[in-house]
Amino acid sequence: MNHSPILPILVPFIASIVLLMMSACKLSWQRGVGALAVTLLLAVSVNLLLLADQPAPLVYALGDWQAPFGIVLVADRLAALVVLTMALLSAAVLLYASAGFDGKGRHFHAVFQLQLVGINGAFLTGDVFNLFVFFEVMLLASYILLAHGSGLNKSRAGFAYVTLNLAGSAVFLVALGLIYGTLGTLNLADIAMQLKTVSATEASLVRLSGALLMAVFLLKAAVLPLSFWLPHAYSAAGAPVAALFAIMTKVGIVAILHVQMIAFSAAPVMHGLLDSWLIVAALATIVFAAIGLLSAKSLQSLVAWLILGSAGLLLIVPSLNNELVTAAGLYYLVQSAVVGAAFFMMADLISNARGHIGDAFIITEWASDNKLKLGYFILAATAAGLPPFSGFVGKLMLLFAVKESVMMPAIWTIILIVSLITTIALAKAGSRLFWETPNDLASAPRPASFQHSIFQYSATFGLIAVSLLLVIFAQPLSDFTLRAAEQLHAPEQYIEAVIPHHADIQRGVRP
Amino acid sequence: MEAILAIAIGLLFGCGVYLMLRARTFPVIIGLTLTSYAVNLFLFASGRLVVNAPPIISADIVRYTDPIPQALVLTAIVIGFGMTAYIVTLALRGLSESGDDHVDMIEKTADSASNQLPKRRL
Repeated sequence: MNHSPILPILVPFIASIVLLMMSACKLSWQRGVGALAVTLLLAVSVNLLLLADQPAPLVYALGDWQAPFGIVLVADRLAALVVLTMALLSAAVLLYASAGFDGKGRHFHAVFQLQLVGINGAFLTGDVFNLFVFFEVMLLASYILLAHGSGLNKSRAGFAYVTLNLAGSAVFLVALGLIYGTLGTLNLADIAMQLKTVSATEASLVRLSGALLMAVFLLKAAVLPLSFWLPHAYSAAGAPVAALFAIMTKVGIVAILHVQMIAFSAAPVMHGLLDSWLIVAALATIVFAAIGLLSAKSLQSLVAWLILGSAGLLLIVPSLNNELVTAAGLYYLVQSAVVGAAFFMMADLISNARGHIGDAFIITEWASDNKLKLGYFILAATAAGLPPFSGFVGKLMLLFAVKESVMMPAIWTIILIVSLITTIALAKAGSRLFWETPNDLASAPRPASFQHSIFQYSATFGLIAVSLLLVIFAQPLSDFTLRAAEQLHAPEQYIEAVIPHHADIQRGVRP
Repeated sequence: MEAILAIAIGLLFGCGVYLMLRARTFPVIIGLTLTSYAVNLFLFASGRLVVNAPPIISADIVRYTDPIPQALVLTAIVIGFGMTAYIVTLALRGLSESGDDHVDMIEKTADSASNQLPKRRL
């Protein structure tokens, strides 16, 4: 059996255990181990992507217990793509945090690796209860990272974030209980098979369990009625943590895609579970995020609203259930994660250089350098979707892909108007931060000159370079996302790979 | 037996949700704990309620209880413990930083917090 699907989980897991034991060691040693682990993670993710680029997904049975009785990891193209994106982001985030943020509290490096375990596990697992466990690993690590550093703001945002997610976990478990109680399985591929033969008396319970499961994922993905936590949590977190969180809303979307496309799409019981209303909620999220953008008082909270907007845009994908839309959405997912993370880092760079005023939109005099200006310009243009940057490519692909849909006029209108609003908000923020000078120079506070660490610069500009590479290599990447979408929309292969002899499995009769 | 269990789950859920909506951190945490108890009972019931039956396959037994929900509940309990411990710590940190156990954790300024309420040290 090929062991590569488990490596993206195992590498950070071993690293986090080693780092926990090293918590008394010097920070530079911990940084070294963390960097080594992330480099290894990058290597195994690239390897996994190359291996998974085939019609049938890679299946890894843990402990060699075959599905549906054991837990399986499944590396399809989508999972491999997001794992690689995650590895890339984590390398940049670790580099940025190594400039001093990691020393603001204890155990940063160990918890950081644990966070990677949770996220990669949630991407790769093929079992819904295992998905719950990895979600909890991811969330527990994110609670600790969110509170890393000090400040009342973090405690407040942290308490609300933890409470909300614990309530979400309760709903998740209820959904899993309903699925197991009615279908007798928790394996994604097996759920798809069992859904075909569900009895009429249990149909409504099964549908309810599906709806509850989607509600939990939508909470993580921050769709409108469930999205009020995101701007608070993301603007309170430390910059490197917020950059890592940029991919956390994507975990919810990937989970929706996996469960919806693999397990639910072919089942008549689940017909119309999402597509009738999710598009409305997604568009409402985009509008809500645009209003938030205009009201943001600091750059970091503005970026948090941008993340919310991109989450809304991505939710168009599961609501339309079209291959081309999925392909475009996956490209947008990768680029928005990279740009969001880079933007959080840029906000922190600017905030550090402006001294005690930070990244609030208050006009002050400070020694901005051209590198910051250039970086801000590229990121702002990408986030707003202006050509020739990757945000433009992503949005254009999405706009073309939804052309056939009945919702096309609404989607086009909202995306285009919101892009304009985003441009205005970012231009206003940029001119406040960089150009305008206070009328009364004498009374304006003058921050002391600030020296940025080379780590912080290289992490931020490295991600910006990646976002530019996403434009140059847009063709191969979009070809890949198209293949990933084809695979998602043909779940038979996935099911066949996970459970080859489905009809021969003997099942006990439930009491 | 099913009716008793259903009523118990409903009662725990109801109390849990009510307490979760309170404004102080302590009732919120108790509410979360009650909800997780309700969820654990619910998960347990998903394997059907069977009394006096083993969960292990054996040649001379025909009646079994489903072992998987028991394993699931065990996992859920362990995770719930960890989460509760963490949120208690977080609430205590908020209390020591703001001097108040309100969930909004608004910092008491010199004007609003009279001297009758000194900052508690924890």
